[in-house]
Amino acid sequence: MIKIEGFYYDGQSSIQTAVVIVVEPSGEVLITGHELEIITSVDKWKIAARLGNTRRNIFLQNGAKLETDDNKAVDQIDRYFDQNLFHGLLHRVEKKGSIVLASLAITILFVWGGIEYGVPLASKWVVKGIPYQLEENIGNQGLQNLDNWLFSETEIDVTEQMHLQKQFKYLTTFSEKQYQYRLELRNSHKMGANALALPGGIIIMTDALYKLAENDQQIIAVLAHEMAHIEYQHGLRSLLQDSITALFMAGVLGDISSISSLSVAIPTVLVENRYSREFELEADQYAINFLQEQQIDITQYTKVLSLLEQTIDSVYKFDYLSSHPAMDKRIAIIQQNEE
Amino acid sequence: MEKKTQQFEFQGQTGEFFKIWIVNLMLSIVTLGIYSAWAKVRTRKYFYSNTLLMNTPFDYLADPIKILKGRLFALALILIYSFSAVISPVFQGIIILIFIPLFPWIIIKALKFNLYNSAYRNIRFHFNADYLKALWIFIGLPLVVGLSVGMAYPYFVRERKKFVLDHSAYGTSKFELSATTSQFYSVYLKFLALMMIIGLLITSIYYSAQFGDIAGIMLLPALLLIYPAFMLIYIYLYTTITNLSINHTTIDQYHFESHLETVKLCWLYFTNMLAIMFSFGLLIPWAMIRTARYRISCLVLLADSEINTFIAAEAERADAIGEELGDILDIDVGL
Repeated sequence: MIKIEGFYYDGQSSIQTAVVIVVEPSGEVLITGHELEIITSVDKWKIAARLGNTRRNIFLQNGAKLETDDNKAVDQIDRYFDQNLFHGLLHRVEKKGSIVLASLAITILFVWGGIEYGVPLASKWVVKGIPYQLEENIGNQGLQNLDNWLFSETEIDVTEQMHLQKQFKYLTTFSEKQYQYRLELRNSHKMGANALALPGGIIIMTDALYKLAENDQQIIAVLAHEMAHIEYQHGLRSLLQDSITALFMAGVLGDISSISSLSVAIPTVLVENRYSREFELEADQYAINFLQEQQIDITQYTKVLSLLEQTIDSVYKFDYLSSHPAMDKRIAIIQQNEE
Repeated sequence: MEKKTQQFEFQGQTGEFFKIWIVNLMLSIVTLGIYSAWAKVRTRKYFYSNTLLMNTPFDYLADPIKILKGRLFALALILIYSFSAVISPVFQGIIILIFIPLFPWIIIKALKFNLYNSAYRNIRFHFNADYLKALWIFIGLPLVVGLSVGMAYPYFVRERKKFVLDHSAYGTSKFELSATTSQFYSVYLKFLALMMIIGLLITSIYYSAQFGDIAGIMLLPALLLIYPAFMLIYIYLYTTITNLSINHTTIDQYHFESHLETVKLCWLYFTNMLAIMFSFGLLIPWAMIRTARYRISCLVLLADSEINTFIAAEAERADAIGEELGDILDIDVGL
């Protein structure tokens, strides 16, 4: 015989009646309270699944309900009369430390795997379907905006420009894609020494970078790095990866509630920076391969990178460092290639 | 006559909920998302059952199979919409035209489902509204807001709240919102004034950086302050509107009191955000529990008479907990 204290509700009103529930081994149940006496049996009631230590519901046949805090006793009845195996199982799973740890491991593994392999793969696959024409349009539009916002015309003299374009032309013969490559020379006080790549084949180099470089080989190394960004479609991929990561994280963790879905999206920023760091390393590798093919000393590349780093003044440092791997780390990786 | 107050309480524990949460996630992943319907019910049940009024918990009774069906329905709508774009823009236009009148119907269904599956003392909540009224509130009024260049927006917010509350019931007792339109307008005017102050600050900082001598380095911390500033104003709007609505909600002779504080809620959200960020999501259960604890601690039920005697005297009819509880427990009812 098990005795449980609880509350009875008839389902017709919100009146709460304190009751004592007595369950006999035969399955007979006696519920008694103030002006209340019900005789029933365990096969006529339905015990709700246990959830943590929250108050337990027992639904009776006629829409009435019992509530009790004595989860232990209800579990005992549950086990004795062999009811509700599946739900009992869930609670046992949630209570067991080893299963909780395993769940943690599986979830972390899944999220990590999705970000490490799933998202880049998905974006690579989607990007393949984008026509060249569209990429060129995006690039041209981007250049126009940058011209309005950041750039003025180059001050490099025409013969030197011709020389640069000739070298660039030679570099682009190594392209494996159908892009119409063009080198755009621009002057910019705000940007300082820099080079950037836009989707569809546009590479921009600033006058300051031209002046900073000690020789042609250093310039060609930087341009090869930028060309890699276009060849591998890094620009579009990073755009896509941003949204795919956010979708993925929201899909896995987002359903929980509106307050957290906002914050879950924030760590994706860190992930996005990680992707762009990977793109930088990939572009470095492309440049190294090109230099080695051309039998140019790789130290020219590391030299121009350290020169670049010295020019980055504090204002732009925050933005640069966040998406680029630390320069000395990159240089160290490049130097490994020399051996 | 002295007013009796009953404080809502929240008893959820982070440690206990973390285990439920992580097992939910794992099972959802392993079953390719199918379990997520069960996970949703279990999560919501945990929050309902740990919310107590007069030492008695609320109850969430939804059937996971029905949630699963609802999700498949939503997925089907999204797929139809996406594929319509592939077929032709005209076809997509037709699909949108079909979806628009469907929208109020979906809202009514969602509110009905959420309230019907919420219960207290074995009495369910209810939602009952006719389609035409919903069509006016959710399609007609937004058009009016657009035509009035936003001037009608506070009116729209008030009508929307009133629609949801006035059609909600606990047992046979109906809720009622008595907050007036002018009260909503005065909240939005204050909100607008705050927005303008921040907007002016930002433009002046921007221009002094552009044309003055302030270096770009000064611009960064100033720009970084924009996000928290807007967050503060937004949460101010949210707490004022929530408090206003709850404080003017009645059911029979009961009414409610809500005293959410902007600064406290802001701090809560800010620390939640940092914690979730630096734990890569693992502190989500902690954030959910402490948010619910604060929000529920701000909610009070007031009655002219002794609450217990009321319940004993009045059979068939029942005492009450508001739809606004939906906001607190983060149900989709809040709209």
